[in-house]
Amino acid sequence: MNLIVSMLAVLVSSAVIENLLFARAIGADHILRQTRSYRFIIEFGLGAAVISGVTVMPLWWLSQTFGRESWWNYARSMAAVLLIAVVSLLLTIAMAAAGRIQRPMRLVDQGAVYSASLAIVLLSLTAKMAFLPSVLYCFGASAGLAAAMILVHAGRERLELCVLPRSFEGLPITMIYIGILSLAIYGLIGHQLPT
Amino acid sequence: MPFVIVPTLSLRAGLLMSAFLAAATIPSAVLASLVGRKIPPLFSLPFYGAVSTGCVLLLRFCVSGQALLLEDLGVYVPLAAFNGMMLELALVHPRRRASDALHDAVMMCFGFLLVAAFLSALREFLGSGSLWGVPLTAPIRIRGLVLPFSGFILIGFLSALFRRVDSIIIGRMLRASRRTAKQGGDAV
Repeated sequence: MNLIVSMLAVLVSSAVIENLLFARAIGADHILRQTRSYRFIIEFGLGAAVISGVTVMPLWWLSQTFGRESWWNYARSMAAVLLIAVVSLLLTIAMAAAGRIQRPMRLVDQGAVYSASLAIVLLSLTAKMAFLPSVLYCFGASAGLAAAMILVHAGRERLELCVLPRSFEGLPITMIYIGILSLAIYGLIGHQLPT
Repeated sequence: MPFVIVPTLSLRAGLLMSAFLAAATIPSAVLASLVGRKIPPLFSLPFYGAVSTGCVLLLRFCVSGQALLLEDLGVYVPLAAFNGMMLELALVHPRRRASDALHDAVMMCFGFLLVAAFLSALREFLGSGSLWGVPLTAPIRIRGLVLPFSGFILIGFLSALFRRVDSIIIGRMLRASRRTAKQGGDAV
């Protein structure tokens, strides 16, 4: 029972408390320029979850082996980038072989998936958790990022129907909207503004 | 976007983040203009990602003496390798000539530096009551400026301000050109 509770705690903290978009602004530029539909956001989240979840497994083992070396801080980032590239390529080949890809993903979308996966993997390793919590952290963070992007996308659709000053249309009002959402979630978690 | 919203809590952090972004963007942009066509599209993102990461880690090694500052920047240092400017100049719209790539990359990074410097100075001065680590007396203290949400809101208002100024300048240029065209037509 304790194990289930601790795993749920990891999932909730990665998805809500340390939400990638609202707490760390990761994915903010992508959601402003590239998200076109809810289906795209869900595919983005799934891609990030699979890539980061698979990548963190060998990296966790490498961290346990070389974590105390002085050069590991540098090697970890490069190893993460290369592993993400390998996993992403394998995933693309597997999906193409299964006939799931109708057209190749745009390079800028691939870059966003890489960036999100790299952030999730590095945050998971920095937290120095056990193996299973590290993998669950990756899935939780990806789900939280996708949920946050859906919230922002829904808000943007409504903002486009509003009459706004021309200077605020698009990027400015979206940034203000994300900021207010971030503040609301910050308070909902239980934090207080510094005094 | 995340690099200007969250880690810019002090002027030093903002300038260091700009340096990391420049280290990630400029070499990749120049390399893309030189050898971009020889790399298959399937491998272009991993290739430029590895090059950018290598440049960022090299700079990190050079500034390893700033341990506290690097700890403040945290995960954004390796993430700088996949910033939007690098993706734009190396993958989406690589330039044909190395000189154009270098010029565009430097100008983009300079633009980021200006915004990051302004935001980080503002947040440090009004949020922490210091500038470049030197304690100063600010007229007001808004301690919430050190939280992520304030970065989003500041960027939103800053962007709206720049758009307004841009529209005023373009409006004046258009009116001046119409006046010139009308005077030229009257003369004929």
